[in-house]
Amino acid sequence: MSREIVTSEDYATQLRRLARSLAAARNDEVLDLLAPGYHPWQVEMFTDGNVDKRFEKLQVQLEFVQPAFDEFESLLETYIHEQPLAAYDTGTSDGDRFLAWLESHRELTPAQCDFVVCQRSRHAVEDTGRRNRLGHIRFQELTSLTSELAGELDSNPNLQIHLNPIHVWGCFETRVFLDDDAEPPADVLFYASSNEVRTAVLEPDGHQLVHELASLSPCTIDDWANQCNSFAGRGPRVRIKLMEFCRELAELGLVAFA
Amino acid sequence: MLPAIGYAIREQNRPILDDPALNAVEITFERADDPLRVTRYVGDMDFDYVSVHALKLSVSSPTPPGRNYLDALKGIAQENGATSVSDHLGFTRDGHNGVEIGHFAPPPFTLPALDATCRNVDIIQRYFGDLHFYLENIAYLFQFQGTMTEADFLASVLQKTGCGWLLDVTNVYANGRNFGYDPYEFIAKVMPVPQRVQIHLAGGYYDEKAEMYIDSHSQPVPDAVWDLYRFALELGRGKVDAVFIERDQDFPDESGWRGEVRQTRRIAEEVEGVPCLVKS
Repeated sequence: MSREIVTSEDYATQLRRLARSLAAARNDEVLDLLAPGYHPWQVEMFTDGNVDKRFEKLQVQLEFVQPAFDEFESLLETYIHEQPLAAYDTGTSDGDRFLAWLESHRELTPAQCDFVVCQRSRHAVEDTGRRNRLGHIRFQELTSLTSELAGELDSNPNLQIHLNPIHVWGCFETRVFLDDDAEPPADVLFYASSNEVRTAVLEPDGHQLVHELASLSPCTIDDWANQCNSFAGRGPRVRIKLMEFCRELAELGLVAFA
Repeated sequence: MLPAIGYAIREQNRPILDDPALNAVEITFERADDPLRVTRYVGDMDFDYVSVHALKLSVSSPTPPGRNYLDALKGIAQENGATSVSDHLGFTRDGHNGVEIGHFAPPPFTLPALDATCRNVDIIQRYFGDLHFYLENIAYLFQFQGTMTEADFLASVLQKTGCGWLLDVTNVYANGRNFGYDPYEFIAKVMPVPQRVQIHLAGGYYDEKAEMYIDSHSQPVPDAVWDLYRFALELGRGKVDAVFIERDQDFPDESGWRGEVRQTRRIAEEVEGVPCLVKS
């Protein structure tokens, strides 16, 4: 055993050096600190194993975007080599960092951009769910009452409309993910449905209405109708249109009632 | 006192979690950390003992664990009725906004590392309050230069912080076999120190090329580890709270899953001298 005792400040420096070298598989930089009897190939075995594990995890995380890129594995290898794993990597954070890296390091085709938008929006929904887990759980509990309460939309003036709080907006620039009846560029809503991420492509009017609802939620149908700027005029016609739209959103899992 | 006995939950062993030999489960935090999950990770079943096992507290880092990570761990523990949390004696990162190695490495076994580790464990225990914290000895491929042995370092952390020991029997076996020390001596030296103990069991393989036993969690628990387990139970009688079997690859069939948990219980019952609850 070495007799050298390092101070706490030295320890922070030492640990930083060890962690950063091992994270980047710069094995040579830690060899002088190996205890007697241990060998460089053991460090290599450690860092190789970590790189392999990270590579495999990224492949699984990014399976969806892989078909959009030639030499995807080579891109992953370059990324892993250039960008060490960040502290507190969560389930998808390394995959999201890879896509951000891709956007800033490669000229992407419009179709590739749509793949990246789709995947990153899914990550953003998960991140929103992580930050508002209680809101997610509560909303998903409310959805179990949707079919029962949707029928009261017209008759119960106190019925509260809740917009799914776990959603993010994206935009598709090409037809890759669009149905025939949608024209790019198209606004897309990514949202949590139970433990999955779903997408909805909305017309411009629909986009505006969801934004209105987001600022009011929870609210009654009358509150919404009174402040609705998305339809010309006021009165029963607007209320009826809003109720139709609300039921469509409820079927998608974007709105629930209480 | 018979320890609670069970598996680290994997999707592959969920169908046998109702086995009468099993009354405990361990939740691996990184597997349960699905932000959109709407049901409890442990499902509808009730267990006598639930523990959350973490991978990224990095107790030997120079900075304390991040608050977001601690909050997430506590959230999973509360959702699933856990009474304990555990992580490994090692480091996986440098600082809060720094880099992650990808797997835990052993700290240099020095006094400054001991100070940093104890400070972090103290912080963790203060944060978790009634949730007991256990620190696991790791299997390593190498050590850094130090001034004390791993056993002395671990015993000092347990002594100074009062935290529990998560004795990974297979890790002790692997390190002993790979680096030429007596695993029985290691366990005998550390076991008197902690007030509370959990145990991990797993099986790995011998890598002929590297000439090392690799703790891959891919094989049945080997006989030598069962013997060490019995020895640990005898030494730790009265303070072993729970025993968990870990399996991450090459999963067994149903009888394999049931067989190992029953053997785990049978040995504990033999050590405690209580009638066997379940036949192997």
